[in-house]
Formats: sequence, C-alpha cells, structure tokens
Amino acid sequence: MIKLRQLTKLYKPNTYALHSVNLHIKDKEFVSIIGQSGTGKTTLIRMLTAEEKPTNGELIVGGWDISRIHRRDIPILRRQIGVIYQDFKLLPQKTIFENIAFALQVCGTSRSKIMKVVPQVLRIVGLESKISRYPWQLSGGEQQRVGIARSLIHHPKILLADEPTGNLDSINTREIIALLKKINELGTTVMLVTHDKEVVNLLKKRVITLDHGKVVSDQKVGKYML
Amino acid sequence: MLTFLRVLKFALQDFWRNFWLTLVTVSVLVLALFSVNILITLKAVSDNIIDSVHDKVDINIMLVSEATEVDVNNFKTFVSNTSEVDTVSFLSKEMVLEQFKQKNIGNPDIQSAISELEDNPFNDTLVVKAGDPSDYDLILQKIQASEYSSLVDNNDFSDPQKIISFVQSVSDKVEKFGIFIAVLFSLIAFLIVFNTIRVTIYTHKEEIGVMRLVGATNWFIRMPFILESVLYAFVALLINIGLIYLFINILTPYLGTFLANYDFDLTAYFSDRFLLIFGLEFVLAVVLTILSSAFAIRRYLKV
Repeated sequence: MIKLRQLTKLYKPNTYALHSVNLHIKDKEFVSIIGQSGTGKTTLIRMLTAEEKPTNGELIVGGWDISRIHRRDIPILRRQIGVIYQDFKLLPQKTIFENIAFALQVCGTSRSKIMKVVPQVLRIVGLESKISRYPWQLSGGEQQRVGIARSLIHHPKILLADEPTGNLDSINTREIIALLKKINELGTTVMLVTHDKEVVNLLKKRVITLDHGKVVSDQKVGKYML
Repeated sequence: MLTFLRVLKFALQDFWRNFWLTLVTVSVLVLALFSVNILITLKAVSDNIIDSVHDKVDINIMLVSEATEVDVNNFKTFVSNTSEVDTVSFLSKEMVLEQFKQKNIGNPDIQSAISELEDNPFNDTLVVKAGDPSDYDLILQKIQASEYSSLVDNNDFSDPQKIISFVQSVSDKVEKFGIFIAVLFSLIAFLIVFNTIRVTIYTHKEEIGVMRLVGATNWFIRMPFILESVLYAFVALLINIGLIYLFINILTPYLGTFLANYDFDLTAYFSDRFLLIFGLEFVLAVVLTILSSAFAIRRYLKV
C-alpha cells in the first residue's frame, strides 16, 4: 500500500528530516511510527499528503509515485487519504454536521448524498446524537471522533493519524485508539504517529521507530522502546 | 453548476462577513471609477464647447467703401475658390448695421450713439468660414497677397480663436490632471483589493486548511476570492452609476448658466453611451480587481 524507497527530505542548509528511509506498509496494516520530536514523523505525514515533496527517493501510495505528483492531482490523492491531527482542525462556527458536510461540499458532493453520508459516518464514531452541537460543546475525545468521522467521509484506503491523542486524557485516548482499531478492522490501512508509550504498548501492532530521520527499529508486534 | 453555486455562495459570504473591509474596498473602487467619469464629463463638455466655438468662428472682411459691385463679386469668387474656405457670404452695410444694432440691443449708450450718426459707419462685408479654424491665418495671408488686398478695409476674427485656445488649454490640463487622479486611484484600489483578499485569506485560513485536507480542488479553494473581487467591481460600478447621474443632476443647472449659448445634455451623453462607458469601466475594474486578487492569492494562498 505504502512504499518508501531511499526517501530523503533535506531542509536547507543541512538538516535531514528523513534520510534514505526504506519502508513497506501493507494493505490493511496498522502501523505505529514512533520517535522523539524532530525525528521526521510529521514530515513523513506531510509528504504522504503531498504538502511537502521529497528531496530524493520514491514515495509510492497504492502504486502511485506521489514524489512526482502533479499539482492538479493532489486533491485526488487527498481524497484517498484520511488525516486526523492532534488539534482536531474543526471549524468552531460550524456544527458537527456542518463540519463534516463542509468536507463534502467543497468536493462537489450533492446535497442529497451529504444528507445521507454524514449521519452514517457520525454513527460509526458514535456521535449521531450530537449532530447539531458545536465543537466547543464537545469533550476533546468527542472532537477527535468528529475529526475521524470527517477523515472517513471519502472512504479512504489509508488513515494517517498525527498524534491524535496528544490532547486527550487516558480514557479518551483508549476510546480513540479503539475506534482506530475498529476502522482498521473494517479494511483501512492506519498509520499512527505518536510518542505515547501507553498507546503503542496497548495496540500490540507493528511499530517503526525513527531517530534522526532514520529507521532504527521495525518490529512486527512492537513495544515503545525509546 | 452545483460547484459554481457553492463557490458563489462562499464568495457572497465573505463579501458580507468582512463588511468593513468590503466597504473600504468598494469605496476606493468607486472613487477610481468616479474619477474616470469626471474625466469623461470634462472631456465631453470641453469638446462640446470647442465644437460650438468652431462653428461660430468666421472672419468678417469689411470692404473699402469705394469697392464696386463688380469688385465685390470678383473678390467673392476669389475667396470662394480658395481651397481652405468653406463658405463665403455677402452682407451689405445696411445688414451689418442691423446686426450690430441687434447685437447691442441691451446697451442704451451704443443704441443712442448709432441713432445720432447720420451715415452708416459700416461698409459692405464678406463673411468667410473656413473648413478648419486653424486655416484663418492662411486665408488672410492669401488675400493679402492677392490683387484684391486693396479692397480690404479691416478684418476681425481674433476673439473666437482665443476662446478655442483657452478652452483647449484648460481642457488639456484638466485631462492630464484627471488621468493622473484616475491612475492614482486605480493604483490605490489595486493595493486595497490586494490587502482585502490577503486579510480574507488570513481570516479563512482554518477553512482553507480543511479544504486542502479533505481534497478540495485548487480551483474551488481559489475561486471564491476571485469571485469576491469581481463582486467588489460590480457593486462599485452600480454605486458609481448612481453617483454619476446624481452628479450630472447637480451639475446641469450650473453648466446651463456657464454654457448659456451651448446646447449640451450631459444626461443624454451618458445614457446614449451607457453600455460603452459603463461596460468598459466594468471590464477595467474587473481586470484590476482580478489581477490584484490573483497576486494576493499567489502570494498568500498555498494549495
């Protein structure tokens, strides 16, 4: 599903965010990427969403070399990759329904389809009863679930989660991780970027450890080792 | 179509939500367009004055009292055949006196002075009109050089030429100043639109971030800002049309007093050329605002 071949990202003059990284993440896999701050985890996410271009190497998603992606194809790529962030990125002046509907509106989805799909994804994340609330009326965990619902709106093959539990307490963290596992079981490849030891140990899934832009460990059923 | 309607909806939302920014932007655009219209008005009025004065310019060649009818006819034929001359008409000295009386009907001193004269002080006169007012000097030179020069007592054509020169000079200066003002306001409008779109992009950075995140096309993200700038131009044009007709209504009575002898309807002037003037202004305003917002988008909106 995702292949990195000698992937390098150099920030001038001489800072390597990623240095000759080789990885292969299979379809429907659940992978945690761990590492200390500044080891290139977020840079990897940004390259996968084509927000940044690699300096060298290949980045292949579903057979598509996105290290050479054309600007006009970027939106097509982003509809196939769901992303959630630590800060949820919800629009405060819109209700939960409007937040998710907005993601469909801006991609040209018809009103009737929006009315059908939004309640469906809210049901998956267990928030169908809070459809008319505003983000500030929800807990952190609930806001992240809205973020997840929005990321699922285009039925992506890959879900990238960049520190999704960074702002949450342990109860909410467990809920979010359980939800990510559920999404993975439904057939979506999940790449979780975190430095939360408890999360990684709880998952018992593949763990890739980055240090100074290089892969220093890749365990099939890993533990947090930093 | 659905996508375009959504883009238009976002553009309209931005237009109303940033009310004060919109007000400043539209006001500057109105000033720029209004200054162009003032320029058009001044040009129209001065052209009309110059045309009218051109029509009224002629030379009165007063003939010596000894000139015989044959002399007069030969001289008239000579003048008519001069290539620069448009028309020549003959006025007997009685007709000249009558015209003089009519012209000074409101001046009792002149009227009483004429009535005290026993003889007609005027002579027979040829009234010469040139095709081009700048040719009068040449016509007079040709007459002076001809065998008929001895028939000429005096001639008078200096006053209208002075008026033409004066109006032309004022008109040229006003036109230059007007162009300067219009360009200045256009530059200011360009910068204001640039800044407005920049601020709008900044206030919408969260929405833009989400749009990018969920895969909205570059066109969809950028288009509302372009449409918003077109809306500025459109609203500015509508206000400008209202303002210019109001301005004409206020100006017309003063213009009527100032141009008592000239028949000129400014409202009709603008109404007859409505599509040409305001259509062109709209196109210019749209080009200006689109260019300006395109610069702002290119600089500040990363997709």
